Amino acid sequence: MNLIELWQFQFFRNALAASVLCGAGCSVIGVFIVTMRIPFIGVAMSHAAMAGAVFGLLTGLPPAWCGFALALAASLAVGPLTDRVRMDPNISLGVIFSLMMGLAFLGIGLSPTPRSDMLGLIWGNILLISDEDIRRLAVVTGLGLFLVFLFYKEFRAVMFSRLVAAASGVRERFAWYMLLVLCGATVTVNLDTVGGLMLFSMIVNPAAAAWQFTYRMNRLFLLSALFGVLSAVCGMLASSFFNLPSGACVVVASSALFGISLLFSPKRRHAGNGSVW
Amino acid sequence: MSAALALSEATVVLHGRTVLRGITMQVDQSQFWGIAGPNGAGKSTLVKLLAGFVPLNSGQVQVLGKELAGWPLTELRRRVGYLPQHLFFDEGLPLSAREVILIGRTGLRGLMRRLTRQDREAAARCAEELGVENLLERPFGTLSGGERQRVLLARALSQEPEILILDEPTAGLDPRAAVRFLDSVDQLQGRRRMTVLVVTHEISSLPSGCGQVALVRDGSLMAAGQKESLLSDSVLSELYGCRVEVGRRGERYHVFQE
Repeated sequence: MNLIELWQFQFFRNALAASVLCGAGCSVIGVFIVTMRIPFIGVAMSHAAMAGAVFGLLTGLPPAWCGFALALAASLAVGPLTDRVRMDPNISLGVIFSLMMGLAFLGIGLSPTPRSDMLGLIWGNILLISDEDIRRLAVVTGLGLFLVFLFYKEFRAVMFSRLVAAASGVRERFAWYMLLVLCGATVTVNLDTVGGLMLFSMIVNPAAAAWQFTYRMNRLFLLSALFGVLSAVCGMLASSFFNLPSGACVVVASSALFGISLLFSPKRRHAGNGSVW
Repeated sequence: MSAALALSEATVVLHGRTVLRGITMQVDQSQFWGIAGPNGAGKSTLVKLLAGFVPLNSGQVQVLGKELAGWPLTELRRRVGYLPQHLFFDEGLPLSAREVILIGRTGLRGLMRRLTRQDREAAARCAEELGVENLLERPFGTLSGGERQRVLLARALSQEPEILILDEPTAGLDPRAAVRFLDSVDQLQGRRRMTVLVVTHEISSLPSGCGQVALVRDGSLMAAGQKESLLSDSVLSELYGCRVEVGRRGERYHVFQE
């Protein structure tokens, strides 16, 4: 079946739309995560969303909203935990990640019914994405990108240094906490695309790949979004043509893109010549 | 002359330890102060208190005529330009020197307001004032230590502060870079007539233009007043707890341990 034939099917069009939105949304948030060196947040938030969704499935509550609520709670906990206990954010996130993973698998283990819905949270179900899912994904992604645009200068200050941001009178704590919440929201809403286990790669890989090509922050965002969309769409198409698991294909595509970026990175060439830049 | 800063029996306790005890001093508008003392004396804590980074446990502190506790934190930090001592950042972060300087305008502009052409022009003027206008498009991580400090100083200036506080600004700089930085601070203070405080543990790192010094030891203010009268062998020997000899070359003082 070729692309034109596949295009006739609603599920394919939805999956493609979800790929584009997931690629764009996750990769923009990924720029903050990669440059602030808090990669664990992707894993922690995706497992928090999974644990919340599992709870929803166990109790009959809407799993999407439960996942969102727990991811939001986790993201709101990380900020104060980091600030009050004065730990590296990755340590706080590691603790939250392990707790949420435990809760998620505990819930899966306790389920008296077949676990296919719950396991779907781990692997993703991009081919089963509904019109309502697309609308929710579009709204949250659009809102997230809008907030990044609105608070870009505060986010940029916090990315450089929270101390310098604070010394400049920037509301750095507000910006830092908002970033964490945005991460939580983005991860939750994209759980259905590649699943909680692999969503981490969609957050980190495109931004890490983009970082190989530019020294400019605005170009980093644009390239990251482009790479995110490219790897999501390529992975989705590969999955459709070769009848392979969609989430895994998207992850492999984003990882391959990162590998290619390393090969062709002008920064690596300069490093090979002995200069750092 | 009105006071830019006024402390009365100010005490700060951090992690169960009294770091500052009973500090009483006054800094008038447009004065240029050095704050000197040995490592661990409490100098950085003193300026962090003034910049709103540590809480006051007892006593009174007034900044620009207003009680410290009465200042909204972001407003205080905007009016007091603070260059921290230790700054950890990622050298690979793709931010240009211009973007770092614009952080100073970010707090000034406020939430949900875009930076304007005036902000960019103000940042460029601060860069020019400190001789780093040719570095604006360079990634900040590629700059030398001295260049970074001048860019960070431009950042502090760009927020249009009324008081400027520099905490160990020449730490880690080679002698040439340190002298160039201190000269920049001298020229800046001379031009703008700002209230400036420079913290240092090395007397030789005091800008030549500073007229007053506060000597801090073990959390207490040992002495405060005119630089010429305090930077003597006997006073500094007592400050550092060992016999030292003070030399002077031009406007710069140097301390030699006997």
